[in-house]
Amino acid sequence: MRRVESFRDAFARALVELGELMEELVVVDADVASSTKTILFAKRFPTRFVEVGISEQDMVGVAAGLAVAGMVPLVSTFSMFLLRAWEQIRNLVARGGLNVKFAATHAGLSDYLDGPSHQCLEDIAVMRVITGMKVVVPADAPSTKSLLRDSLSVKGPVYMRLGRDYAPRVYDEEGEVKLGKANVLRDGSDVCIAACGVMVRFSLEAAKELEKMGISTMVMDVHTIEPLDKDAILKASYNTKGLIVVEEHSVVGGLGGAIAELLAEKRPTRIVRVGVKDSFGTCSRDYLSLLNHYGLSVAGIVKAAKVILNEG
Amino acid sequence: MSRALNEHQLVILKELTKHRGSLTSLLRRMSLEHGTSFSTLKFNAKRLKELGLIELNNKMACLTSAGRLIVNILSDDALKQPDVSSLRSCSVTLREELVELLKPINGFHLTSSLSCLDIILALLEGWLALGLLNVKALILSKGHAAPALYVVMCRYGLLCERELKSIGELGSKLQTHAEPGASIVAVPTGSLGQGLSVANGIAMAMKMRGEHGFVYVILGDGELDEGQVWEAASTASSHGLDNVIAIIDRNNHQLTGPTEAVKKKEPLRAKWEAFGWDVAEVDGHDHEALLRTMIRAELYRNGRPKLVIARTGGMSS
Repeated sequence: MRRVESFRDAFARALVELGELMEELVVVDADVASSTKTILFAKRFPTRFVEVGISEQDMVGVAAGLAVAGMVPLVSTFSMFLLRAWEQIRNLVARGGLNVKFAATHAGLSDYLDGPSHQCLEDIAVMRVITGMKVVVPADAPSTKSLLRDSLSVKGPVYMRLGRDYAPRVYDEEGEVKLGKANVLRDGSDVCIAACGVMVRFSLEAAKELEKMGISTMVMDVHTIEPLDKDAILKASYNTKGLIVVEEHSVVGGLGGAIAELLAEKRPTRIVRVGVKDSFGTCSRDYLSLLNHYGLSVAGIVKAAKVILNEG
Repeated sequence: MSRALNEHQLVILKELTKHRGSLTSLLRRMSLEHGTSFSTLKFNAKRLKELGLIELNNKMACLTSAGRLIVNILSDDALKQPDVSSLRSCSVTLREELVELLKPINGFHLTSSLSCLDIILALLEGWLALGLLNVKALILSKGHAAPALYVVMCRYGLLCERELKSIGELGSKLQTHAEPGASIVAVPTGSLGQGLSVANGIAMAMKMRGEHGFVYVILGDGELDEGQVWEAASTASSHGLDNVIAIIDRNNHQLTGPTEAVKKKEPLRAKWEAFGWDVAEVDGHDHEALLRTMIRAELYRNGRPKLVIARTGGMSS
């Protein structure tokens, strides 16, 4: 694998850069700035950083107020803890059509040592269901920056899902990712692997393995889950025998769910979902072992591809 | 300028309307009568001079024209305008309208609207008609009392009769719970306990940009059960949001029954004071008292958020 960076570092550095350009950008924190790294923004722009203490529901309300008053608030905390303010996000921010951005770090299993209380496997499902909410999941450091910039430039609420640290490179530069447009990273005619987040890199590795076995594999980075790039998904369903959807999320309701909903109606296609099944997560002393434990690995993806082809 | 005055400064201004003589003798007498230290009074008198509200001629103090204007605005007499007493009969009419309005929709939260009607009426009169309040944003945290807001808005020409009557109809802009656009509220409410957080956010943005004015938020007493209200109460004082004015409609009732039977709210004043708020209690059906309290709340920019407990209910057990 290529160079490995950190999601939260990339996010926080990009945030400071964008803060220089956007005077109305305000960051709202619930006592986790040193963990989400928004502390960098706080140091650079102390008057545009709001600390509300450990109170996520209040944090979302404060952000709603800042947005009403014309600022562009970015709420940042661990994805798991933002979910306790889901109702406020739905009722104040989304229903009010407010320009509030959510940057949720430590998503998926990336907070491996903290265990199931901190690991978040449900956020994509509950965020994408909210009317008007955009959901983005960057695959690496450069795309974190691109998608953050895009998220801040579109009007209305955006939920950005970020891992903690482990961010192996997928893209060479920032400009390669655009909000709302899935990226085909390699073409293929047997199967298509649609992935988001850190699993994109894994999918590219799995595709190499599959190629070696003579299986032509397409890989798509579906970094924007809402609005879903329907054309790209439908095209993949026409050009291959089936889709493997890989995400560091519950197999229920996430990217796999979004793609299944689309294809079931528009073009029934064989799908295998690779994700976490029937679990809240668990502690591990390292991240990769934990991913592997749930089948989120190159081998797990290869196995899923074979399921589709063996049925064919 | 009047918004920067503290209580000592206001008392000095008021005393000067009656007093003729040296400033020192006035302050000494006030110090004895009010139990305030002489040096505190002297400091504040000096501040009033800097603000151009009082002037000294051979140590004799008198009010400047700006000072007199402020005293006039603040005096109880100035507030006892015909407009305010007319609100009494207006309130009766609006109550009757409310009852009729809500009949087709099973009396939708009628009591919750009735209890805060006078609060909203006093607020809008002070804001829109008299121009005495500097309201930058209004949030109806108890969103189910939207009908009360709607009938009052109608009185001030912000809604027409036809729109008002369409409340809750399919396709009507007037939702039963408050939403921006159709009404003057800043954010949609209806889910309880969220309004104060939003008020804080608006107030913070105003401070960031150096804007004047106040964010008003009307809370129900029942919704104080929500933890978020107390998160927000703490945020407001921690951030020194003296541009937030919260009004609790203390009607002593919530959905299931008396507030103190469902979940204790008392000692309400002490709780908010402990959270770092300045608290005033007032008869929530007395328009004069409500308006005076709101004006005073706007005057004291002392770094503390302001709460008005508006008593609107009879029984409290």
